[in-house]
Amino acid sequence: MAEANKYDLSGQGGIQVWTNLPDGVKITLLNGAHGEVIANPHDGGFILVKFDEFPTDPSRVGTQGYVFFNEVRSAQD
Amino acid sequence: MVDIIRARGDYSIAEYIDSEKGTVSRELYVNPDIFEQEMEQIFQRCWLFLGHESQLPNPGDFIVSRMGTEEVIVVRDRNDNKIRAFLNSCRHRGMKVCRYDEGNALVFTCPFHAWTYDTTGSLVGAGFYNRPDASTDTLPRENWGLSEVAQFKNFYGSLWATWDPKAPSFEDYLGPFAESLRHCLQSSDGEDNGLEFFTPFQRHRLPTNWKVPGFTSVTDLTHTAMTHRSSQAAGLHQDRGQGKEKPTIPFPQEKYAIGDHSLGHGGMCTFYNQAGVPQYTNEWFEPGVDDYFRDATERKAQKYVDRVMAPHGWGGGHFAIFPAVMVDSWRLRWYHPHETGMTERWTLSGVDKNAPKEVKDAVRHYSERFNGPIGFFESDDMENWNYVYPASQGARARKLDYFFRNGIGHGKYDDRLPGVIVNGSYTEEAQRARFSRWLAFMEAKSWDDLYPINKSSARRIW
Repeated sequence: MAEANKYDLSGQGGIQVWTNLPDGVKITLLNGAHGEVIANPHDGGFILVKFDEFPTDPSRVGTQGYVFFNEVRSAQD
Repeated sequence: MVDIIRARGDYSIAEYIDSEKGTVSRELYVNPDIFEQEMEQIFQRCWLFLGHESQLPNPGDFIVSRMGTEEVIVVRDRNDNKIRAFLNSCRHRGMKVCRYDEGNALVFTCPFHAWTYDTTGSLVGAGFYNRPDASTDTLPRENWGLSEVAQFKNFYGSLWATWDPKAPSFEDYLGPFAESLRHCLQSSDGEDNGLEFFTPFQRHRLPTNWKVPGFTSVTDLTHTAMTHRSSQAAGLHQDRGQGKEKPTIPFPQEKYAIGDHSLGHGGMCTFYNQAGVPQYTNEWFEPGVDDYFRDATERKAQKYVDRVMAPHGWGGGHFAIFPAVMVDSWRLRWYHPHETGMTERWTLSGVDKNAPKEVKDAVRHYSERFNGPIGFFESDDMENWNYVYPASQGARARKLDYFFRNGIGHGKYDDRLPGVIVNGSYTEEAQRARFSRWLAFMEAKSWDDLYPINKSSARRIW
């Protein structure tokens, strides 16, 4: 049985997980972009991410951007 | 058809002030139409006080201040450490993007649709922006940042802003009072930008027009004898200690009521007639505090050994900057209009930033005794301010005028403060100067009509 993802963003519990997501967590966006959390304002909406992959806009690789919770597919260490 | 009569007759703004009789119509204080015009003509144009840099020492620190009836976010950027000020209104639907009085933020996220702004006011995120089905090309984020003030000034730690790009520089706006303000922001030993201000600071909501405390009462020496008599009866005039000692070394100085009719600033003023600083005299209850201030005064005296102190008010400060800031050497108080008959007064109480804890504690306790919710002197004043408005706004009461004639015609110019009228201490020169400038602002089409100013007597209305 696979180990449960401690950063499960789904459902009601996912709101608290997202709000308190720590720096360093890797996230994948619905558009396929991938990056690392570098700051969390704890507002429940956004997280600042540094992108290392951005298939739909390669110019954003290496840049930072704010990501909204419903743009994210998953988060993991 | 019946017209709605909201003012006394069909007057122009200028006719509400009778410079011959020395009177001001009460309409200026109770008429909502005049209030709305003030917000546009005065508070959209003037340099307004926002706070002090000591309130936001770290990157990301912010305070929510006010400019007229509107909130502004004053924030220190996380990257360049620069302080900026923005209207607290989301560009999308106008929601407040910050609902705290102060704090530290990475971003300001609107709770309505999640438009999100960083500490430079730039729009850095919006809900759904990165979703594959979003049409991001329809939101040019670079054009939709928070509305930033047109000009911002950090003046020896005090923070000021104006919405008007045509306003003169802050120093020109202050005119001869620039050095007076600089002096009041010095520490006791004469170091520039030497103060910090206690947080949280004091706020009082007053059911009165902003000009009752801001124009009528700021730097009004004649109110003290009666208004504060009960405090004196209780022995509270010895508010810092067991009564101030008399100096053994006289220090020549002259005290006046002053008013700059061209710029609107003025108040109680002390002119110093020799270099140096007055002798320190003991005045504190708390042990060690007099020792600190005596040493600081001696250090200041060394800095001023061949310098004459800039004119400033009694007790070290106590003059007003148009439209509604009162400056002391240890307090900055200002009045925010909310509605015609609702005003908020904020008081920042300062202390030498390098003072030891016991001195800071003593000054803070004194500030609370003086200004606080269970303080004495300020509640005396508020009692008057709060009843002035309801007693002036009725159909009969508003037809009367306020008397501002005290000392009219007795003032004279003085080279020590160019362009400023100097008059007797118990006159209403400062109040008349405020109304001179008030009228100029209310009639002006833009700053082109307000600055550079003509300091000839033709500009005086009194």
